[in-house]
Amino acid sequence: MAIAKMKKVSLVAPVSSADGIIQVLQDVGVVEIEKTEVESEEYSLYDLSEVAPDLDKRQEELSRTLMELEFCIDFFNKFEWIKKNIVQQFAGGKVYLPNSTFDDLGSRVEEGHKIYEECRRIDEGLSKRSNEESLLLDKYDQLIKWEWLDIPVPELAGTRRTSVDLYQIPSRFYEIIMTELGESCPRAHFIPGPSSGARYIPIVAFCLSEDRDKVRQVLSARSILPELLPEVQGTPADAVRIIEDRLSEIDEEVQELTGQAKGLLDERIKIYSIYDYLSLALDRKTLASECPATRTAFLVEGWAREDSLPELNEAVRSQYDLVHIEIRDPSDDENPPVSLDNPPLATPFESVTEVYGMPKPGTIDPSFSAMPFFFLYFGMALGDAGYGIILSIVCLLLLKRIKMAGTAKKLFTMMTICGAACVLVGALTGSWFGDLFGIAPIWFSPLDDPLLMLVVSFALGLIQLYVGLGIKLYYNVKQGNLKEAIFDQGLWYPFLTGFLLLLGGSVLANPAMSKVGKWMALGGAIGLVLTQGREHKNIIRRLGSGILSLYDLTGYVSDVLSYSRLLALGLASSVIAIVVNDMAKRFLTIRFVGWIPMLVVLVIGHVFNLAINVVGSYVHSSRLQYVEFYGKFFEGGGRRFRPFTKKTKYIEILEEGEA
Amino acid sequence: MSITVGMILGFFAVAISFILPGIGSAIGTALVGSAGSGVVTEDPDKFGQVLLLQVLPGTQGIYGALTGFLLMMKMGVFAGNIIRLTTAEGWLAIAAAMPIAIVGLISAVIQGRVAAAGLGVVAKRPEELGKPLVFAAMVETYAVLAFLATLLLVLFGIEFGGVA
Repeated sequence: MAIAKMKKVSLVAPVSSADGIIQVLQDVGVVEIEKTEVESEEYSLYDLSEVAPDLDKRQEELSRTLMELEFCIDFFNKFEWIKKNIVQQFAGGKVYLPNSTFDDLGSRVEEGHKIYEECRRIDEGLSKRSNEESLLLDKYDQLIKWEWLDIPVPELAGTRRTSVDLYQIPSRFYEIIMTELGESCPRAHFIPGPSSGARYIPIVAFCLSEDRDKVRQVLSARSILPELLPEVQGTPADAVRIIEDRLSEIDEEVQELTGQAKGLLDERIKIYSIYDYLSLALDRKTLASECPATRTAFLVEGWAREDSLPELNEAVRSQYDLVHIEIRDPSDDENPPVSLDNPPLATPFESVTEVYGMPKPGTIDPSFSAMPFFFLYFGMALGDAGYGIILSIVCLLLLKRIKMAGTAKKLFTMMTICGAACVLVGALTGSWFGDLFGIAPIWFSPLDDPLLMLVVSFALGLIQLYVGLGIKLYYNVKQGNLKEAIFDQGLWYPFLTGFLLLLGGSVLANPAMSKVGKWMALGGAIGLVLTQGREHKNIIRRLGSGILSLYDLTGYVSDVLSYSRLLALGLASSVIAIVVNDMAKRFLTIRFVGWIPMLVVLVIGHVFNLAINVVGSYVHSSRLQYVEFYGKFFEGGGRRFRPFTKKTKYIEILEEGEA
Repeated sequence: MSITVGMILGFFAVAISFILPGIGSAIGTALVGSAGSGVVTEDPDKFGQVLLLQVLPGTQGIYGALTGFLLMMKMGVFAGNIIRLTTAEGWLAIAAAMPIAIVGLISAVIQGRVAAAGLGVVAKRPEELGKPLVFAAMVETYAVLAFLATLLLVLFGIEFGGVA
């Protein structure tokens, strides 16, 4: 149960090997780089990129190429979105590529550029076609209403003395409007188009130019405005034909371009690989631009776990002789990043702490001490052996199928282990998919004796409370704060234990136990009252805050009561399982085929119950750690250790030997 | 078979344990779901994380439904022979259902709000999903406690004899 020891690493090497050394640092991936501010009057200082010009030259170029590749990736996504399944969304689904292939990518950057140009061409072609298509469709909509009109469109402009206008008259008012028009402009001539039950009847109005305004007035009073036709040659019907031809042509062209794009989809992996290859390169350049350097040498500094130092040393020294590595402990005003270090079995449980936040450097990592509790709580909250087996198998399969790293990997490993806890608790309480198989409990069933389960929950809570106080006590002793250790934590033990004995004595009607408990509690209480106000000089204030400190007891009591959730969650999942079984078994009354709906109900019901309760069990087991346990001693505020490493977005690089 | 007032009250107890926490959970999950759609629009790959936040205010409805089923079992609905509860027994059923009905309703809505606020974390810092989950779980504590009360009352406090 510890926080890994961090060392500050300073590395000085000739500028000429800068590129290579930074590459080694990225490959090893054990150093978190910290930007160093160096001031010197003796030497003039530069950015590494200034003195090693080949480093900087490519940075802009890299950014540009990366943008091109991003364009390609977006472009591909438009045609075929790679769906990630729910597990991949959590664990990250990447394409696997062997190490050797990945390293060879440098020579293939040019291919990426070619693919980009191809994508660009198709994309431009497509957007040009789609613009044209929408323009044509507009025209088409305007013209199609006048398809019946066998007059070429240019001739609809009228003559010197006559004018031609096109109107769409609502069919409902057609008679009225035509009568009105006939009355107010008797010299005008109207040719109606086919109505064919449409909502509008098109008419062509021929009139003398001087009558035009009258016609317009009558119609505009009813908000009917003359229609304008787009400028086309020939009759509307001709124009419609031409547009239709062009539209189907566009359709074919789009089909072809889309086909070409789909063909390019095969290059997707290549683009992904080159993208990641170059983004790693860009990371190195960015780092290089932050390193201080003289004309001949450069400095890179960072943090590394003590246990990773030999590996780092070996990796650098094997390739470069002319390099100076200095290693020292963090000084007091430095804030090293935090990395947790636990025995293998407890490592998965670091995810509990990592989700909460890192402890302050130099304090306690609670992962190890939380492990047995989390394990048991999860088991009790899910509480079913059958579910535990399924959970373990599913998590194991996922771990096998998907390469995970960091917290995700720890989380799934922890879930696999916690599945075993469910089997344990399920076997003890006789819950195998609820009561499906009627297996008898090894210990007792919480449905028969929930009070015992409640007592077990409280007992676990109490144990964890004692452990929590104990850790704080240990930490205080280690820090040399003996006073705090004895007064703030030590005195609570007799006080709390006394209370418990008192309670136990009255429940079990054991006066001797009560008596011991009474004196213990009293002793503890007096001790607390006398010591808890020790920062105050005034004797009355001192006693006052001493008495007030006893009030913390309510906090501890409510902490313990909070563990009753274990009973509730455990009962909830087992009762739902029993209800599912009960409903399913009812189908057996149907002769011959009853087992089919029974199986369906069983599978759906149990999967649903499992899914809901796994989330609940995880969240509530975590909460019991965070609030009831960590609250006793945890000091947060640590910065997570993020070494400079190969951070890829699309590709998972497999080391030699991994398949 | 004549119907007793107790049966009506008993059915009422079943009804409120389905209705109230159900409403609460529906509102709660809807809050998270509608806000979550925004997150998913930006990044469809966050569906799973959003879903995780969305199911949290859904548990109250399940607790309520569970209470309802248990009451039905106690009343012999599944056995096909409904016990003719006395009026007092009917009231007893309602009283037992009260904790999860009321706390379930309110806590689900509020938990939905907390979870919806947590979507911001999913959108900007998806690696910190654990924290908003715990915030939402804080609210759920009280639903769990209320459910515990109801569960104990129904399982061990109620044994219906019915009218002879």
